[in-house]
Amino acid sequence: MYHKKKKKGKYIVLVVLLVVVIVLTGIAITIRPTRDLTAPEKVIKDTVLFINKIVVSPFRFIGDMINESSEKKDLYKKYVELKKKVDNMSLTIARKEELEKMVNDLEETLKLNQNLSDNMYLNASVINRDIGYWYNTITIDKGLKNGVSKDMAVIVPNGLIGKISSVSNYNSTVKLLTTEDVNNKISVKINNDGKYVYGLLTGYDKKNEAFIVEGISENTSIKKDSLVTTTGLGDIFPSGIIIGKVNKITTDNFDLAKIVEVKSDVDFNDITVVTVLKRKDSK
Amino acid sequence: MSLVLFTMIFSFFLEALVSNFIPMNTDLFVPCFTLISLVLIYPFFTKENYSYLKYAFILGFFYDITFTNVLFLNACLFLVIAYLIRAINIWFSNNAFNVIFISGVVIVIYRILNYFLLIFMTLKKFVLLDLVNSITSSLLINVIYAFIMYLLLDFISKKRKILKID
Repeated sequence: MYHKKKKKGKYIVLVVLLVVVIVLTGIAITIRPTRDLTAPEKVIKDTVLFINKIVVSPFRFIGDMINESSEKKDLYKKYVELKKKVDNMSLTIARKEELEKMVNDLEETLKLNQNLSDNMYLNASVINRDIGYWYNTITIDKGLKNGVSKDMAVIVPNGLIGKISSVSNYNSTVKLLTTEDVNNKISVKINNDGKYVYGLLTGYDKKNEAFIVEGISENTSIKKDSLVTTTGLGDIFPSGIIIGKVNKITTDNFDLAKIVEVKSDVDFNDITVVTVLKRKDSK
Repeated sequence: MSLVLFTMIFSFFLEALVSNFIPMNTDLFVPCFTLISLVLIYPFFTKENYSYLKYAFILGFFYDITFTNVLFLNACLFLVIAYLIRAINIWFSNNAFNVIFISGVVIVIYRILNYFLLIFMTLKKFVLLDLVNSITSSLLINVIYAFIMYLLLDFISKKRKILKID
């Protein structure tokens, strides 16, 4: 009787261990960043998010109306500021056209088929945000049917916000740069009085609300408020997308390299419309 | 059973709705209403405890597909939490204060398990402060939600004479 009970106990322990191993293996497989969603997952996700969109829409409408009424204050002041920007716009457009022509001529001369900043743009609305999980993600209303694919960069007017981490037929999930992910590294360059200093964006400091850029030599001098943009290297983020401006410069524990804090102008708490970038040369 | 389904679906969509209006880096109001619904629905499973576990697993599965894209992570975590709720409810009667207490315990254990799973998968570095912040940021709003929903469900079940475990 005692031996039977002991055997039964061992079997139970073995079964539990086996179940735990299978479950952990399953989770390890599905948690991979390179995993594509399966067809049933896409259908379920699209359906649930469609219902979610219907539920959230009235509240979002009310929220927008409240924002609108608060923005109507100081309307004249904003009008004056915008008018100044519009007046300068024609000069900016002319300069842009001139630069585009120069780039095209150079490409032709050097027989370049592509450069690191050729992009196509796709606008999308944010339909959901997830903060219950560890990764700060948002869901947008564009998916495979709109030409979105994994790892496309996602921006707002003030700069880069993240990349597409998974795609279903009609929706996509964007993993934000503010996520604390050990795999979230981006090659960046700091505009140091016309010269570029290259570094690696390694993470986000939640306390100071700033990105951390490392891999810069201690001998390099960097000025505060220098513009930080993507390099386009690494084949994920196109070149020239704004990350932010240098806020603080410190050194690491061994005084061998600089650590730069970069403040972004993006309000990650209030993202409603985004733009998905795709390189013209990517598949 | 319709009340159980209503609670689960309502909590699921309310969590998605609230997430849209709360600041991303909040330190106080991270919703986990879907998880709390497991605490709220348990008293309605008077006879069939395995149905309760099935519901927990399916709810976690849908949560995974919609919010995390990691299959079985929350499905398994919700199953473990359901077992835990079942075990704890043997020692506690069904009243508002016990629901608040169990909700708090459930959130703490869920966050710890979730965090250590991510560390095990080498997706996060271990920083104790992150874990503590995630727990403290989830407690307040979810405990309040558990309390309000408990009162509401208690009222509805008394009105409709629905049997509950006490």
